[in-house]
Amino acid sequence: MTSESELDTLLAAPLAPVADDGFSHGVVTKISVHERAVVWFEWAMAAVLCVLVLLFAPWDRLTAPFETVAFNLGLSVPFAIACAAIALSHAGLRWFAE
Amino acid sequence: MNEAALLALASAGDSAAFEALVRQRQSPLRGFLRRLTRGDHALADDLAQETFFEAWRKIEQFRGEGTFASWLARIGYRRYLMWARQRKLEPLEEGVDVTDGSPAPDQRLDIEKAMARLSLPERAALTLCYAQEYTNEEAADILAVPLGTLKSHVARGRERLRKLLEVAS
Repeated sequence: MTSESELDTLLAAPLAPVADDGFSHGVVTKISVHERAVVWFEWAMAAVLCVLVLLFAPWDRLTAPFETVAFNLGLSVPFAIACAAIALSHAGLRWFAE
Repeated sequence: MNEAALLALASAGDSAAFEALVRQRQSPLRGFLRRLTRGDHALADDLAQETFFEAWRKIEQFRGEGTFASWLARIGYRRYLMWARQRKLEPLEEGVDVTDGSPAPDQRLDIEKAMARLSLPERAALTLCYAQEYTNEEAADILAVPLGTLKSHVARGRERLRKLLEVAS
């Protein structure tokens, strides 16, 4: 017959200690491997996204406004005067320096 | 360094601090999981590793409402439940009926063997409340059951265990 007190004693016996034997190091190694994999995955996804953007972006439509701007600037009298003023100032400064 | 300081460092991403925490807490967790897995050390260690891995990922969610040990035990128990449910291995309510037609335990039946014949909630509840000295409230929180359910698991588990040990002796 198992008495209640005997049962209590049996149940209250602490669990056998478990030696670490590299377990904690293994856990941290697994964590660092996983985190490296996550970083690599994030960089790989960013790279794939960049490649997709480069391949499929509508470059013609994106650059068209700049072509128009460049053409309009070429025909602009104030812009031509400003460029001439910069060129003359630069030449004048060099002449004075010499 | 005390546990609170190690937890603060680990929350900030210090893996050395987390390794120190694992070293401090691995024995009770692995012991608990060995009980749950009926002595399958390899499985218990795999589950313990998954438990610590999850703890590392969610360490910022640990707000110190319970102890770190009880938080780990809760994760470990949930991990074991998931594992058992995936494999449909563990009936959660019924243990082995000591009066059924299964083979009678031999004379060497010790507490571990007797424990292995209890249902999962019974052996988890008994292990937490007796061997690991958690309060009933803490054990109920770890097992995610109401306090009354925990107490009935303990009472039923004790009764089954007593019968099993009587049969053995």
